[in-house]
Amino acid sequence: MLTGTGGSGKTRLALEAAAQIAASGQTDALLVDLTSVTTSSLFEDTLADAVGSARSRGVHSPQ
Amino acid sequence: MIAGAMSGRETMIVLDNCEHLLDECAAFVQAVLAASTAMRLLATSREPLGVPGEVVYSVRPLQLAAGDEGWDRIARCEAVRLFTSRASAARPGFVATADDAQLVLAICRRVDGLPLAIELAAARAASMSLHDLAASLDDRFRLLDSAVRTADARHRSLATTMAWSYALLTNAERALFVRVGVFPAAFDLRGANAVAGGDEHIESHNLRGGTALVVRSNRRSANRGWTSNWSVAFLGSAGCSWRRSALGALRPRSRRCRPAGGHGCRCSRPAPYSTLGRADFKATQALAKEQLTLARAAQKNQP
Repeated sequence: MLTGTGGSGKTRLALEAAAQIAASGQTDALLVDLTSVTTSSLFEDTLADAVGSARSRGVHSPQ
Repeated sequence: MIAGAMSGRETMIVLDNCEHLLDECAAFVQAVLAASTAMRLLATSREPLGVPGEVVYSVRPLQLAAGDEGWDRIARCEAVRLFTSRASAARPGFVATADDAQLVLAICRRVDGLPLAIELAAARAASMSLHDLAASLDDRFRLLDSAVRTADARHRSLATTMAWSYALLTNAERALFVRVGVFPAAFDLRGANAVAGGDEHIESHNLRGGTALVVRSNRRSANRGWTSNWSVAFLGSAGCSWRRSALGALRPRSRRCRPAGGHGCRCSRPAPYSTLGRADFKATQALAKEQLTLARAAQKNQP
């Protein structure tokens, strides 16, 4: 968990970490931006969308 | 569901900006970790989720040099390095020298060493002298400091963010922000456009989230007819241009906002409702009201 005040760089640090991990080729990175997600049902939809799009582009296909 | 869908390969899920969905995120994280050992979770939030096994890393503001240090020390501190690097990108040929040391340091200190605020300030250095930029931040923060100081602990972080993002708005953006401050509660795009007036048209998005207003200013010039200038007013924690490039690198496929005409911010999906809780919104609203009062007072004092 990266905590900090708005503008402190939490998101950028997380994206950088995820990009580095994804670049290693061993692990897939899946980004879910919750900025505009406001309700529990939208939260579920957003996660389902993210996973669905990750599947459709085959990020987790066996090598 | 997620763990099942993603099984097979190690996957890191980044949950970005969880603060308004702490319970949902906590439940999700626990369910995912219980279902699969191949899942890693990284979350960002103003507050921890409070789930077992959570490792909390507090992202600190950038390091600032002391004012009485020499230029070589000042130039090497993290905040000043970020400022000078972004300012030289915004204004080719920009070079900070020993003479600028105190001004650059003052600008970085004014925004508490917060990287996004430093980047926005550096972008303003393209069109303003360092002296004017420091002075304008100083003026604006003098007005806002009391709002930050009087906020209770829960809202201080939000108030600080609001203070620096407001201070870094251009005059046109600031005028717009003051105008939307007339709304006693949440407002929508149509409402925002109704009070925007002048030749500005608000195209998008996240208005109630207080995240970013993408403002199109239509200006008529004598020789080129109508032209549109796009600008983004940051009223919250989101930075669009860098986020867009960072997102591009990860190629997420979640729905994104698509402003009319295909211009402007594409960093998040359109939201009809606020990402802030009711109490947060009240704090935002209180700041907006204060700005309105100050703006009216300033108008009265103008000759």
